[in-house]
Amino acid sequence: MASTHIEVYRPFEGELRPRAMRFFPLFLSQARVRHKRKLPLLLLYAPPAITTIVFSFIVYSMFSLEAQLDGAGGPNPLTDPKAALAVAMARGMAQQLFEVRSQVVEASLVLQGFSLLAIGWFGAGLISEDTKLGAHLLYFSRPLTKLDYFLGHFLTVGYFGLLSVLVPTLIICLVATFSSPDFAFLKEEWDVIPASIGHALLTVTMLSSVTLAVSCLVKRKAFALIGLFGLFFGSQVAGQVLYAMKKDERLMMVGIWNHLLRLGDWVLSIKGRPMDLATGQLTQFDWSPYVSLGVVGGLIAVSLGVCWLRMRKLEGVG
Amino acid sequence: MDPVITLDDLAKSFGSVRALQGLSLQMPPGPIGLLGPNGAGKTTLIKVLLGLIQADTGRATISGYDPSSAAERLALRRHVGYMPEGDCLLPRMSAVETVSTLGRITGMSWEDAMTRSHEVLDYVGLDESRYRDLSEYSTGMKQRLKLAQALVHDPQLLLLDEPTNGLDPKGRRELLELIGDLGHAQGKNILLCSHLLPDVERTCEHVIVIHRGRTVAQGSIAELTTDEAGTIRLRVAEGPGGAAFDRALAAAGRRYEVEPDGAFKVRVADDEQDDADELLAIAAAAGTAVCAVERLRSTLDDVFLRLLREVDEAEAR
Repeated sequence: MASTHIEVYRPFEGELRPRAMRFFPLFLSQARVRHKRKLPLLLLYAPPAITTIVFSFIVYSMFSLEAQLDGAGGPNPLTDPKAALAVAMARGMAQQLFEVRSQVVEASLVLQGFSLLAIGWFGAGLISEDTKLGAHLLYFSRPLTKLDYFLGHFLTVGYFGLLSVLVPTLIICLVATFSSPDFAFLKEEWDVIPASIGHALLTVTMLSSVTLAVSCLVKRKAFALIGLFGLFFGSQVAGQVLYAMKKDERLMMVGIWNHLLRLGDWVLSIKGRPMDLATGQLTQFDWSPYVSLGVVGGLIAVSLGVCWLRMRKLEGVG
Repeated sequence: MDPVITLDDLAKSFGSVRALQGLSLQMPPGPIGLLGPNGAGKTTLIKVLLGLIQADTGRATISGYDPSSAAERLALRRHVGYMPEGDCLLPRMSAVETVSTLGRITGMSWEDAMTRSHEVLDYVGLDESRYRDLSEYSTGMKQRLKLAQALVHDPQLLLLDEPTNGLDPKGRRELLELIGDLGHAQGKNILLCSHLLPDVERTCEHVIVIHRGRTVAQGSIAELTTDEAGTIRLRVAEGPGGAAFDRALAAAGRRYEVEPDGAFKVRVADDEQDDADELLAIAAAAGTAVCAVERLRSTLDDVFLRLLREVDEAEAR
């Protein structure tokens, strides 16, 4: 027993088990630690929560109005003036509202923006702070490979991204399913659910990869945040300026975010149903979605490459 | 006893810098000091042992595992605890969270990791402060935390890289007591890398000296410091007596040297316990007054510096 204190050393009598998913404890710890601070969670997730509530209410209202219109046993609008007025109001409101599917699609696109904020805030410091504080030395002296380390961080940032974009969309779909008569939404419009999931995964994968790549390259979270938002907002501004100067819509392709929007249109409008009834266009972009897919895929590939090179450096020389 | 670590002609270069140059050694069980000046290759060696970097040539084996094999590397790390040099903290985590997280990554269950975290934090003396923000930790507390995380999975081999760096004398003494306890009372194999020789002398019985990426000496501290056993230093009074004593020693056929300050270092046979009396008699016969007599034994410091000097001189030639 050391004389500096009264505690004795106790041998560990448990078992060390090799894990198949070695990155999972890292992900759980990172996520749990980031849940400790409530204010960022409140600020970053209040807008998605409000969006979820608003869209859920709209979806619920649409189905409940339809049910009133179609329901038997209610007042007859042909003989009851109050009922006729209610029907007229309902029809007016129904015309103002898009289809449920369109609401889900629109919600997904709105929530996409919030995911950038959440992913940026929770992901920008992940690797940069590890580098600054030397945490990578502790991680890599454990049974953890470069891939495990990356996946642990990627899952963490992806988790916070999915919380802001996928979970709200699924809640809206759930409300639509249970509000629709005989689960009609699930039967008729089921394809919007996998489309939303695909859209959310694509968005979160791209944003998470870029965020981690930026985080790899600096040693302070603030610098990573500046780099991340600078990349997205800077490219958007550059695209707008070029478009304003040349009046060529293709120059909007300079904006990285525009590619995510274009892919959102493509992935979510599975049946080619227009979201905007007036123009028949989902957005102002009409370039091939494959161009956007290439840009987004390229960004993901470059980001993963940067991360991989940096991981090698961190593991070896650190 | 089987060696814990075996290195065979290990070499590693970073560009033009040759960090390890054909390093070969066998580390016996128990606490071992790895001595070397800054840049000797100690940290590089540890990283090779953990499989964090690959050696260019040669082979290393730790507790039977080959760190160059991807499959064995992960298994190896479950049996080794590493305390890195410098500050290493997990961002935003308390001491308990840090230690339990690393325990879980090593393969412990959630319950085991939490229980064990509290045990090792108690052991290293981080009591209530284990829940504090790590940014408020002193250097000594950070060093204790690093030791705790290395111990969480109860490894049989501990690699401690400069564990007392930046500590005040009290903190240093306490940490060395912990390391000594682990090495002697708990039977851990420890590779203690340091350039602070008193730290190594205090906690280890064996040392390995490396310099410029090569093993310069290896053995027990007692063995390494015996090179000057059988030497007596005599200080004589100033004046002509010194020259007379010089002549008398030469005439008596003694092996000796005169130090810059005029003292005489005279070799005597190891079994000559009363040889000082004989030397005093020679001095008396020469009319030389002897002021002081001392039997010499090298310190680890002396041995270390001499070894480094010899390597440098050999390379200069």
